[in-house]
Amino acid sequence: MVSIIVPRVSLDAEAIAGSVSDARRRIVAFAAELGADRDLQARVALAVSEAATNVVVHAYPDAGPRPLHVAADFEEGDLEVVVADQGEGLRTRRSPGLGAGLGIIAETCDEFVVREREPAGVELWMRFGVNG
Amino acid sequence: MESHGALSGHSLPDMDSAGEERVARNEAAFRKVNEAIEQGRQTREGLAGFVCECGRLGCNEIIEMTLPEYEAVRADARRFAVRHGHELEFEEVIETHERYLVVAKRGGAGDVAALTDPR
Repeated sequence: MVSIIVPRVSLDAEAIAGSVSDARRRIVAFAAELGADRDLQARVALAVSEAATNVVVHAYPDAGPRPLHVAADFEEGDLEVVVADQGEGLRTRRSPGLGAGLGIIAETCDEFVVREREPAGVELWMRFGVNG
Repeated sequence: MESHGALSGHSLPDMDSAGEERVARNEAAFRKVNEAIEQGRQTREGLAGFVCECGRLGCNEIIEMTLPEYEAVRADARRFAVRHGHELEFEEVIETHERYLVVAKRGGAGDVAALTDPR
């Protein structure tokens, strides 16, 4: 049996401002190892920063645990990145919601999907083509 | 950097103003966000949170719609779902619902909306 090792990296942190730069650096370094050029690294950096910032700013309105999960892997020429929280999800609220960053992400990655998680939170999945 | 914008590859129709063009670009981006939200839904039941598609800088509010309601808006490329009070002067309010409005783009903005429709 042949086992295929999929390169991957992940980060679990508290959703605070400093975690955004940690997540960005780790995922961009991973992308660089995979052969992403500077332009792609810049796109990945922007998308990861916006997604993680959304979690820090919007996911948790109350005090308490603020988990931020960021992971990436590389399959069939694509860098796939997940940024997830365990917050309120996509709900109407008095304060502004998801953050304009989602619009930037929409323009930055090649494909993305927003999923509500059970029992709570939002997961943002993003795909970037590395080889063309 | 390669452009991945909603309008990349499209020649823009004549727009009445730079502001209209900016709004059209923002709306196209937020329509892509809502398509990503719809794609991620695991059930067609109940209300789902979508982003307001008003296209104003700084608006990032959530509107709640059922998937059939959202699909009804997406059936026409020139139509967008916005929060009450977020309709703009160069748009026509087509439908009024308790949780949201449906607006239609006219003129050049409507052409941009149609050109950038991902469907």
